[in-house]
Amino acid sequence: MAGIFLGAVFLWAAWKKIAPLGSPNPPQVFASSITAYKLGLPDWLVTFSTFAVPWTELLAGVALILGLWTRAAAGIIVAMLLLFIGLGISALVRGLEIKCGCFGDGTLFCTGGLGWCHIRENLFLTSLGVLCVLARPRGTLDELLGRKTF
Amino acid sequence: MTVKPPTNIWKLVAIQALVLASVGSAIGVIDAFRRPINLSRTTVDVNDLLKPTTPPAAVAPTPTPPTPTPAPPMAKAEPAPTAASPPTTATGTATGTVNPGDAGWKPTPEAALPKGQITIEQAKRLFDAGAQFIDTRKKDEYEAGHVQNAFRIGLSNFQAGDPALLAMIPRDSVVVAYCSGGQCDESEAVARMFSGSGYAKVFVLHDGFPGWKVMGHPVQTGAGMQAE
Repeated sequence: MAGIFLGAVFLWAAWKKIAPLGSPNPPQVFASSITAYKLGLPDWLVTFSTFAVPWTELLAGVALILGLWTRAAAGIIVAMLLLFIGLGISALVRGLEIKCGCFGDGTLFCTGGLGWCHIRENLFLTSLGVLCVLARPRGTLDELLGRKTF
Repeated sequence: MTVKPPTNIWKLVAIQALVLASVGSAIGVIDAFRRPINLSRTTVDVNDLLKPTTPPAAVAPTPTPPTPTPAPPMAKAEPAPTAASPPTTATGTATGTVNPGDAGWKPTPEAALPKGQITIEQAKRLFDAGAQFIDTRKKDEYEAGHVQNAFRIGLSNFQAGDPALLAMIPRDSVVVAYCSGGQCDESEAVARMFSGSGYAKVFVLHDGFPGWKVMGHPVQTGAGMQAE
């Protein structure tokens, strides 16, 4: 269940970043979110992150929902969440008044600008991800196909 | 024939994770070519816009540090420079450690500015010509004082698409973004967002609001017009 929930959250997060949001070019909006963190990234890396992050989120989310390569998908999501937590804390410490941008223009549990609520939210999701990595998945495609990774 | 199960499942998990991340990145790269985004700041040369009213070049102007005179709220706009009263040509070197208002501060000269950034004098002439100024600082700073008629639009306002205030700024407008001068980079980032939203005449006031205010140019206080 944790895997399906986490997968659905990431599928939704990815969709909000790459599918139409009422803006003619949703990736441009997500790129502005990355830029808002003021990380000093070169343009090519901002562009790469703008597209690679949501597509990887989407693949990992689908894999988690299907129960295929569960541990690998959960591992990727945990790694991304840890990165997001680090970036969020960095922005908060620097006093940036920005939006999280985690779900495009949407929200999960936290509303308003980036705050410690978003850090807690990501920590909660990270704990679910760690659970998916460590626990033996039941009733998943991995199990049905007799994968050796659990 | 039996297949020996892997002794270390984590190695297989790592390979699977690498495959997932690689495929996601590859699709992302393909998507990046399909739907290009604009991160560069496109702008015309400010001198091309100012040409019709550009007076003859001043000859060896004497560096004259401005007298720090706080402008009153809602100060009247100064008349546009004319040939009879050429604008002060900023001279001297860029001062990274001397703030506007401090002794020895001088407006940063045009020669010291990167492309797309303008001097206070150029900004004033664009102001007189009706350019839209964009304050990119925080709400409390904006409300304490901003360039007259400036809108406050920060970088975060672009995180959910174009802010609604952009509907009030025609795409062919001249836009001047500013923040606090010095080391602040919010205005450059916002200027990029304006370029990405289809504005071609976007400039950044290098010396920011402090420089503008010290030069005695029109400022006002209050809520003004701010993006949500």
